Order: sequence, then C-alpha cells, then structure tokens
Amino acid sequence: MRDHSITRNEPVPYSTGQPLVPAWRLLWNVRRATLLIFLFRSAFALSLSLPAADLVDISSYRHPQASPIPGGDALLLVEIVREALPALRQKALIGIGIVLLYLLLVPYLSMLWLCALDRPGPIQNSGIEASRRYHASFLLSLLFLFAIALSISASFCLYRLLQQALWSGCIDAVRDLISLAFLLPGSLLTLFLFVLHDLSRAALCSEKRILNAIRLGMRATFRPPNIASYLYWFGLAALLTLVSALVMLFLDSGPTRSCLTLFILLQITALGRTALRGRWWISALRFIRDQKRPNSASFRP
Amino acid sequence: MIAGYHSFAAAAAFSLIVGIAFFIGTVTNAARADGKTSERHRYRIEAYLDARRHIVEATEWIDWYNHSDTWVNQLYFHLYLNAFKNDRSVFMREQGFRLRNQKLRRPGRIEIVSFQTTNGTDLLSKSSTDLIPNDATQMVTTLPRPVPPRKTLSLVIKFRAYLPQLVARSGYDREFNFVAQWYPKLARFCSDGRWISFPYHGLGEFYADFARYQVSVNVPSSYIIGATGKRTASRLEGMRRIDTYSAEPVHDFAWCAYPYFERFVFSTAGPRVYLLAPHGYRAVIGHHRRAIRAGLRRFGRLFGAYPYETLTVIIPPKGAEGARGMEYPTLFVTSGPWFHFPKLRVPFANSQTVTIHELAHQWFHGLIANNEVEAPVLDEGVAQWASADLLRALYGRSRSGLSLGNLSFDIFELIRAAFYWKKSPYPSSLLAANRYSADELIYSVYLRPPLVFETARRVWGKAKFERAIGNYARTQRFRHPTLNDLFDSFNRVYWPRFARDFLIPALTAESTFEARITELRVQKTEHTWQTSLTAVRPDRTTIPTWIVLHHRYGGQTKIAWPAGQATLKTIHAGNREVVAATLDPYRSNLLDPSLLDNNSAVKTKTRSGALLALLLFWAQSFLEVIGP
Ligand SMILES: [Zn+2]
Repeated sequence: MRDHSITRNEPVPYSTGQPLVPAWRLLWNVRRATLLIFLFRSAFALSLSLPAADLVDISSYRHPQASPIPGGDALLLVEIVREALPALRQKALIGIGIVLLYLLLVPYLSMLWLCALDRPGPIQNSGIEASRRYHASFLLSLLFLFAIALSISASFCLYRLLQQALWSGCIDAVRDLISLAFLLPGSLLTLFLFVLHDLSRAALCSEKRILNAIRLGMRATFRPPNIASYLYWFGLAALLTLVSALVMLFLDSGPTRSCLTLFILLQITALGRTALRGRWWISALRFIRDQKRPNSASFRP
Repeated sequence: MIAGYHSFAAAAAFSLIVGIAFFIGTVTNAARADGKTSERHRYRIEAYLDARRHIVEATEWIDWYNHSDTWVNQLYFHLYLNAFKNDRSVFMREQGFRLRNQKLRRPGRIEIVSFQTTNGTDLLSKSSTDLIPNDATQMVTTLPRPVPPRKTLSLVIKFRAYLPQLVARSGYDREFNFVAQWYPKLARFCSDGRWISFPYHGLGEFYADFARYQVSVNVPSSYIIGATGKRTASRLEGMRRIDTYSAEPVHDFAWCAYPYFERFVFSTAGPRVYLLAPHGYRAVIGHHRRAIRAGLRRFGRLFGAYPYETLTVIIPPKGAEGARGMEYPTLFVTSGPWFHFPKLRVPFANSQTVTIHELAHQWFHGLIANNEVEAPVLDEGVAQWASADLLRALYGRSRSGLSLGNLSFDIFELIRAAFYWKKSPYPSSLLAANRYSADELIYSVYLRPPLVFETARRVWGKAKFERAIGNYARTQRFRHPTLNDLFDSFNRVYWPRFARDFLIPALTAESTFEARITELRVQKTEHTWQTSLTAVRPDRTTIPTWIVLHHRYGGQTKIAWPAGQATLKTIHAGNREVVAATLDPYRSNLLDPSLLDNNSAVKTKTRSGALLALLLFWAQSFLEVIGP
C-alpha cells in the first residue's frame, strides 16, 4: 500500500495557522472516537471478566446467610481455584488469546484515536488514516515493548548485582537502600521510554517514517515540561482511581451498598480515566506540533 | 574440669522435680569407680578459631559413662562436618534440592589429628569411617578393652574442623562463622547397650545423649560470640579473647562468631536472652523480643518451664542465610528482614514466625530429645502446632496467620489451605525423615501434624488437649521419647484407644475425615416448613461434628452428628423456612479435604453482580495500561 494520499491532501491544521481549539473542547468534539475506544476496551474487558467471575464466585458455594469461617472465608477461594483448575487452564488460554488479539488491535486503535484528535472530522476518515498507519504503529510499539523490557530487566540485574557485591560488614538496611536507590535510574529510563513511546505515536500522525517519528518524539520528550505534563495527566488518573476506591470502601460498609451503584461508580472512573488519557494525547499532539514549529515552542498544559 | 560443678548440682536437683524414675536411675548410677559423681557424659573442648582460614583447631576431652548393664567394646561417633567433604555424602545427596543453585565453593571436613584414651592408648588406628560408602559422617572405634557397666572411659581427641562455605547450617560466609556439628560427638547410647547412629541426613540430624559441656573458644578479640549455654569466663590474651561456656544437660553444642554483631540483652521471667543481630536491625528487635517473651511464657505454661539460664538468638547477616531457621540447645538461628510494619503481618515482612518456631524447638528436640530421623513428627510436627498456637495466643484466632487491613486469616486455616492445595495424598506423617522427599517432608511433617493436633483440640476441647501434650512434654523432659510415648499420653487423657481411633488414622492419612452435605430440601406443607437433610462421612473413622440450619430472616437450628454414624438423615419441621445448611460451622475438623460441599443453600446459583463489576473494572484497568 502506498501512502500517496497522505502526502497529497494532508490537511495539516498547524501549518495553516488556524487558531487552536481549547483542549477540552477538542476532546468533546471528538467524543465519538473516545467513546469508541472506551467501548471497545470494555468489550474486551467483559470477555475477560465473565469467565473469571464464573470461576471465582464464592456466593454460589455459600449462602450469604451462612455463618462465615472465622479468619478463613476468603480461603474458600483456594478451594474453588483448586477444584476449577482444569477449567481455569482452559479459560486462561482463552484469556491470553483475547489479550493477544487486543494487543494486535492496539496500534490501530491508538492511531484512530490520535488521528481523530489531530484532525477532527468524520470518524470514518480517522479509521482510514489509522489503517494506513497500522504497519508503522505496530512496528513502533514492538520496538518500544522490547526497549522497555530491556530497561526493566537491566535495572533489576543492577539491583541483584549490588545486593551480592556490597561488603558483608555493610549494614543490611544501608545495602538494601543503596540497591533500591540504583533502581531509580532504571525507573527514570523506563518512564522516559513510556513518554517517548506516546510522543512517537503522536508524531506518527504527521510523519510517515518511523525513524522521523521517533526523532520528533525524542526531541519532544527531552523537554522536561512535556514529561511533567505526562506525569500530571497520569497522576490525575491515579488520583481518580484512588478516590473511587475510597468511595467504594464507604459503599462497602455503608447502607447504600448495591451492585448497580458499584458498577456505575467503577464505570464512571474508567470513562473518566479514558477522558484524561485523551486529554494527554491532545497535549502530546501539540508538543509534536511545537517541535515542528520551533519558533513557537511553548508549554500549554 | 572443676568449673561447672555448681550448675551440675542444680541440674541434678532439677531432675528430682522432673521425674522420679529418671531420678532413681541417676542416683543408682551415681557411684563411680574414679570417685567423681557423674552419670552423664562430659565434653570439654578447647577450640581456636583461625578466622582468616575458617579452621577450628581443638582438643576435646570426653568422659563417656557406660550407663548400661552390658560391657561395651565399640564407640560410635558422629563426624557430621564431613557431610560437606564432597557432593557424594548422604547429606549432600539428600540436600541436593537446596544446593542446586549453589555450588559448594569450599568443602568442609573434620580431620582427627590424634585420638587416645587419657592413659595414652591410641584409638585412631582402631577407628574407621567406612560405614556407608562415600560418607564419612560416622566413625566406629573398637576398644582394646571393653568398658564395664557403670564405668567411665576418658578420651582425648585433637581435631581440626575445616568450615565449609555456608550452604546449610554449618560454615562461613566472609567474616561470619557458624560452627555447628563441628566436633567428634558420640552417637546415642541406649541403656540396653545398643548404639543408635545414623549418617548426617539432609532432613534430620539430632539424636544424642544429654551431657555436660564445657567449651572454651579462642577468637580474635573483635569477634562477638553466640554459643550454647552460659558464659562462665572470659579473658583477653593479646589480640585474642577466650570465652568459656558451660551447658548442662544438653545434647549438642553450637557456636557462632562474627565481628559485626550488635548484641541485645534482655531479661525474661525465665532465662536471660542474648539476641545477636547484624547492624541495622534495631527496628525489629522489639518484635523478636515480644515473640520470645510470649513464647517462653506460653510454652513454659504448656510444656514446663524453660530450665536453662540463657537463651541465645541469632539473626544471620545477608549471605549467611544457610544458617538460618535452625535450632540448637539454648541457641537458635532465626531470620527475617530488618524492617517490619506493626499493622501488617504478611510473610515477607514477618520477623516472628521463624523465631517462634525455633523457640518451640527448645522444648521439642532441645528438652524432649526424640530421634529426629526416626520420628520427625515429634519435633517438627509438634513444634509447628506449638508455634501456630502461640501465634493464636498473640493475635487472636482470626488474625493469627496473616493480617492485612481487613483481610485476615487463621493460621491453621492457612496451613490447611497450603496442605490441601494439591489434591494428591501425601505419605504418612509417621515415617522416618530420610524416607521423604523434601516436598513430602513439608506436607507430611510440617503441615499435616499441626492440623491433626488442632483438630483434636477443637473437637474435644482445649483443656484435654493441653493436658495430654503437657503431660507428654513434662514426663519426657531430658528423655528420648518415641511415638508411643506421645500416643500413651493422649490415650491416658482422652480414652484408652484414642491414638488408634483418631491420631494414627489421621497422621497416617488412613482416613480423610471427609464429610459433606449431599441433600437439602425444603417443602412447605399447610402450616410448617419441612426440611430434609442428608449428610455423609464416607470414611471408617469419624469424629463428632455439628450441622447448622440457617433460617430465613436470621436464626439457626443446631443438629449434633455424633462420631461413628456414617450417614445423617434428618427431617426438621418448623414454622420457619430454612434457607441454608452448614456442616462443621465452627471449623473444628481441619482435616476435611473439601470445604465446598460443607455448605448447601436452597437458593440456586446466582452470579454476584459486585464481583463482576469489580472484575470488569480490573480488566479495564489492565487493558488501559497495555492499550491506547
Ligand atoms: Zn523446625
């Protein structure tokens, strides 16, 4: 497949100099794509969780009114898993299959979402553009998967090496903390790779070549405010999860406990996190745009 | 030697209190030809640690007393450090699982330089270590003249102990030296004139007579020592220090030397406790101390007070993990991290579990010295129950195993879950240690016996159980009990055939003690609800239990199901609707292999919406992380 069409009629908003739409407004404008991503992911999640729920459900083995085992009720799970092990193996295989299928679709979905956010318009157009970029996006993600795995295992090896090498008279706590501290560079590198992966994918919206996209992404990643922005949106998503966990705890002990409330709360959280992720993509796309226009580089969170 | 006579007198007095039979035995044997008053073997060792080369050079004087009525012409010794001579020894072959990832970088051995009687007769030429091919951990010596009954033979042995790189129990790691199983030690000699000797096994080691030890260790003056017994003398000689330790009556002597120990000393109602930890463990010392104090109190109450003046507890440094989790008389090696979280008790951050288990060994193997190879259930199995019981006393039944916020487990339920994780049956718990694989040993000796003992305690009550095990521990103190002694003690307290009716079928896994509800039906007649319930126990041996019927809108009906009745069929009529039934609601029978069939609900299966909502959310979160 040739990519002539992209170069021929690429409607690049930043090159036309049209005013920037406020980020949240933009996210609202492309809500259909965002919702599509959310629904798609939820469908996969449901196909993973339904069989798991069947296996794990304690309530089918115990009547809710039956007296609990003192300090051992949850251990029924062990028994259930033991009984269900043959079925579990089969379901685990299906689960792995589902996850693999999902991973194959991820490059397409991320490009669809990014293209929709980059050039708002009919969702079909974004779909077509995403299919043109699937190959590049897939290779890019594969490359980063490899790099991230390498960085994590390298920092783990460093930790083990230090644990072995440090002098025996050394205080155990000091040695453990020093080895832990040496996990930090590895973690920073891993964080850097995560941001780079995202920004390179964002760059892939306007760049055909993987290497160019990575170069652009690299330039954007080296700007600390951009990493800060990533951490900001990521932190907000984590905060949202934390808040909903707290609300859940309250629901669990409170009188208003109900499955439906729980379901709605969790789904609002998941949807909220998807929106925050979309908001980060918008920032990422703008960082790439800034890299292409060096004279107007400025940080807009 | 003269020093130590006071402690001997105290111990002799103690034996008077402990058991009349034992006392009579000791008194009748007290008169001795050489004029001394001892019926116990005596070891005196002077050891010099070459800290750079990890070699202990020593001279050992043994007074061996023939307490039998027969003439003895052979002596059996254990040279257990020879287990590390090469990887063909019995120990190394049996321990293969532990050493798989660690090559023995430096082997260890005992070299006997000279071996004589005190009047100069050479015995080295009359000794042989060729009892088992490739294994030199036993030595038999043929005496030129047999030792008559009630007479003492005095021996002098000069030897060198080359410590191995620490892989299991004995050895060194950098500056840390753990000197255990390091001297020529007599095997167990029975009063009928038999020797009981076995090679150093991978999964069992102790069986020896109680003796009186006096050991002086010569180490570089910067080294801190932990040793069996009480330090009775200490003096500096140039750059070296000589510490003398006495212990009586004990059946082994171990010590350790390391320059980077911090020493914590604390008193208890019983012994003075010396806790030696590498620098940086201050945060967990209080945690260990609480466990030790509580353990000394509780085990003392259940099994008789701890009789010695000292207890030494060692936390080995990193790299010396091979020494950890091992018990010696009046000394044990624990393990655990340098940090702990008061509100969180989970395996990885738990300093107390090992400490408690090893402390229980001070009774079950230290004081009640069964043959560890022949009947490991008597030391490991009973110690496991005792330590789980102590955890319950410390934290309460439902939080004894683990507590993590709202999640908490009963330690016995955890042991049960671990034991029944695999469905395949494990061999009897009453086999000899060397007949198990390492995996089987864990299930059959460490996991099943505490479940059996605890089931006895829960089904027939705490008082009976504590009386039975307490009597056993008290009467067998400073003795060498067998399984029958334990069973007799239970038979006396429960009923004459209790061991045959319950303990043996449970420990040998002859019976599974499976029980299940097979049917629960509820029908409404004109004015009443009719509930018919069927429950079965397929095994020959059964224990009494309860079934509880749960009514709609609360309330219960209890039905007793006595032992001996294989099937229970009952029809219950009442004006309240029964919605569920639970067999063994108080979880007394920890041996039932399946819990799922102990509950039956009238309502048919419905999917839990809350669980599904949660699982869906977790799946979404996971896919979010790996997705766009
Ligand atoms: Zn043990």
